[in-house]
Amino acid sequence: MARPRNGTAAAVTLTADLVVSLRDRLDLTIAGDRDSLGGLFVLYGDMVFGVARRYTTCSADAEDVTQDLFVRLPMALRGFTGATAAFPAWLRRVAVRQALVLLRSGRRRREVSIDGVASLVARADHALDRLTIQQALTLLSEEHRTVFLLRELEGFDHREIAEALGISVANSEVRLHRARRQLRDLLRGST
Amino acid sequence: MTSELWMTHPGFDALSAHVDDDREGVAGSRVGRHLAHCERCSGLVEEIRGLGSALRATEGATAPPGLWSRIDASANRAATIAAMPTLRVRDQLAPEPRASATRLAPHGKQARRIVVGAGLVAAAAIAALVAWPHRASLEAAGTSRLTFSPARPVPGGRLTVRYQPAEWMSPTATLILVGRQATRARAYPSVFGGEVFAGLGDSLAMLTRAADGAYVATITLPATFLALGVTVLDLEQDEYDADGVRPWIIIGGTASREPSFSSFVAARDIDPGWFVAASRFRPRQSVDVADSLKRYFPSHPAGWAYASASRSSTGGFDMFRFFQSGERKYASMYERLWGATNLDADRLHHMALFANAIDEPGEALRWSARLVKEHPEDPRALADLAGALHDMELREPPALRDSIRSWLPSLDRAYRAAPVANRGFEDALRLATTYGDSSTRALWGDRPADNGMDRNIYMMARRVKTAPSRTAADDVRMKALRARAARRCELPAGRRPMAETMDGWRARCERYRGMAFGALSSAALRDGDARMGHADADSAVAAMRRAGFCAPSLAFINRARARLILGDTAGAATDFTLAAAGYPSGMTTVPDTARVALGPRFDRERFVAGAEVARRAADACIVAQRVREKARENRTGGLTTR
Repeated sequence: MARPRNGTAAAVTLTADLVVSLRDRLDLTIAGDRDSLGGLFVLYGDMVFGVARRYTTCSADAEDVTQDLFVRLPMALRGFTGATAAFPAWLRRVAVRQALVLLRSGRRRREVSIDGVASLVARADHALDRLTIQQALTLLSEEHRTVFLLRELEGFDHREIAEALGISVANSEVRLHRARRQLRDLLRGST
Repeated sequence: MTSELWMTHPGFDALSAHVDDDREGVAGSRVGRHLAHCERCSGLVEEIRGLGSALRATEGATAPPGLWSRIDASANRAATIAAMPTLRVRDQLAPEPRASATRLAPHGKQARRIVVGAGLVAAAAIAALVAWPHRASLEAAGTSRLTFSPARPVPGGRLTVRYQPAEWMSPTATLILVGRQATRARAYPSVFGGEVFAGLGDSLAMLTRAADGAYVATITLPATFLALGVTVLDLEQDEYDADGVRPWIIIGGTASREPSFSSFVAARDIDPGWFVAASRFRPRQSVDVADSLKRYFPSHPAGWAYASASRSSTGGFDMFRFFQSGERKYASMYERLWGATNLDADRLHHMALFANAIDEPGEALRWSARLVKEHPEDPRALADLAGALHDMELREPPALRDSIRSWLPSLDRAYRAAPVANRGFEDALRLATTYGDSSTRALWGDRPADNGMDRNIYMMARRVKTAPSRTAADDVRMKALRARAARRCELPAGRRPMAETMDGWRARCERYRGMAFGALSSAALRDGDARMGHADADSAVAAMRRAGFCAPSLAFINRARARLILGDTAGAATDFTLAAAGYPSGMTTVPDTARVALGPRFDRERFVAGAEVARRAADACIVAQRVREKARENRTGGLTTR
């Protein structure tokens, strides 16, 4: 359901959101309708940003990914031929891919991301996470973190991860084991 | 020293691979058979699974305000450019036709760049390998806000600590220097697993403000000093400063200021996880104990023993081992050491670890047996021998039962000689009860409950909760949990939290109390004691609320189950609605549980309405907490990691 928030959706006309179906909105977006694109942002902006933020660990990079994706979405949607219900999953994959492209491009922002790294008082309702899993993830190397996220969050198997990252299947397995080991060490060490 | 203990079980990688195999339906593997009777490894497998589920349970970030405005403006520019006849906006976003995955294989100019890059990386790797044994400056140099002198303090000497206060620390006249000190008499045990009292530090000194604004303290080290981990706490105990997520570590030297073997090993024990985390934040403090030991003590096996444990964080170890061959090094050390008389326990223990590192369990058993024979009083002897025997179990050699039975007297000897609480007790207990005769089983069954038991509250609670029926080991755990639950969250005299605020420590302590009460209530309900189950669940709810949990669902479910047995149907129904607040509104887990438990007395409409009210209250509670956390983040700049 469309969920207007202060600031983000200020320029989005939401009047028709409740009555326009997702299929219509996608078609209108392809046709260049900016309000429909805005409606998609309201619906899926958080998801895209969240995915990008996880992979890049940097809010500025995540904003870049989200912006690139939505700016190019009208064109990219022409390649989306699946059922409407598959759109969120498709968009998520595109977001992952776009984040990986950014990681590989070397055009990441220079500023160091510190949010989520070590706010030791940040607490979550899980026994292991005085140092939360998200904070611990930021301590991993990019290559380990990416493989862990692709496996655990996107459900990729090692063949898919290897394909996405241009590495061997064995390398993917090793990276995953190492990522898990480091996360385990970090989380254990923090309790 | 937990990482050492893993070595005698299937490797971490094997367990991690098992998690993936398990997910993909591969069963009946050798690791799977091992897991069926090894609580430690099955616990680790659960932990590995938990990493993924914990990640999936976390919320994604939300898009920042103003992002749409940027996108809108940018889309406007893109549309203008796209409309120009000579320019095309490339479709870089559409996924490949294949449905399974994205493909990002390099091509063209990018591929050439990668080839050149790979060449540079290879050259750098070779250079790193050449330079590896000669890396300089291995001890912590103190480049952070906290510095100390001398850089390698000596036992019995004086140590001056100088702290440049972080912006968020109160500008009071004094601050508290909190530390955990490892000495020859008190090498700190690992403080893993939620034993919040064991993780406390001592108030070492008051830091006094100097003219330049820095805070300074000088402390006299004990004659048995090995290593020290320190943090800074303000007088109100509501702000702290540390080396990121870890204490600052100070590694001592010998009386003649030479590198000290014991100090390096003790520093590793103060906080083993520190070496992984610190390498990300503080390169100059990222002491690699294995590396340092290899450099300063090249003839000692310890560096090689630890190197395999740290290879995941160093990355280069595999290549290093390729050129230098751990096996050949082991063979040469074996030649030199095995025939030597009066070998110290450190060498024997580390040779056993080294043998495990190169996957030679027979050799590990050989050194462990010698450690038990020559130094049965060493606290590592029992763990080493039990671990080596467990490894033998995994190999399933012929006449396994007889073979292990012949080692049981040695296990007994190690147990009797070792100081409490010794490590390896659980392994030894399992071996004795599995392979021993009735008198051996009785002997081990009567051994003190707190001797070497796992003090990890989380693991104990989980095991007690999930045990299908109560065993002798469960009784031991329940006793430990009862003691832990009964202990109030008050600081013992002279002790302070490390790298944590007082409120944070108290909340964590209450959370573990809540977990202990929760596990006890589950066990009581399983055993048919509804009154005890109700009392413990009630205490769990209270402790979890003190810990800041807005919706302690599991505690409410236990209390609901107890109330139902005691005939309080209305109370049970209310608790079920409170439990539902901890789950997203669409999830049917709790409603299904309530429906099954309450049967015809289940009123769905009333349940849904009650759950909604409870959910709103929980949401308000969570929002209030986030506001408080955000306020603190703003105060500290969210930057406690420098």
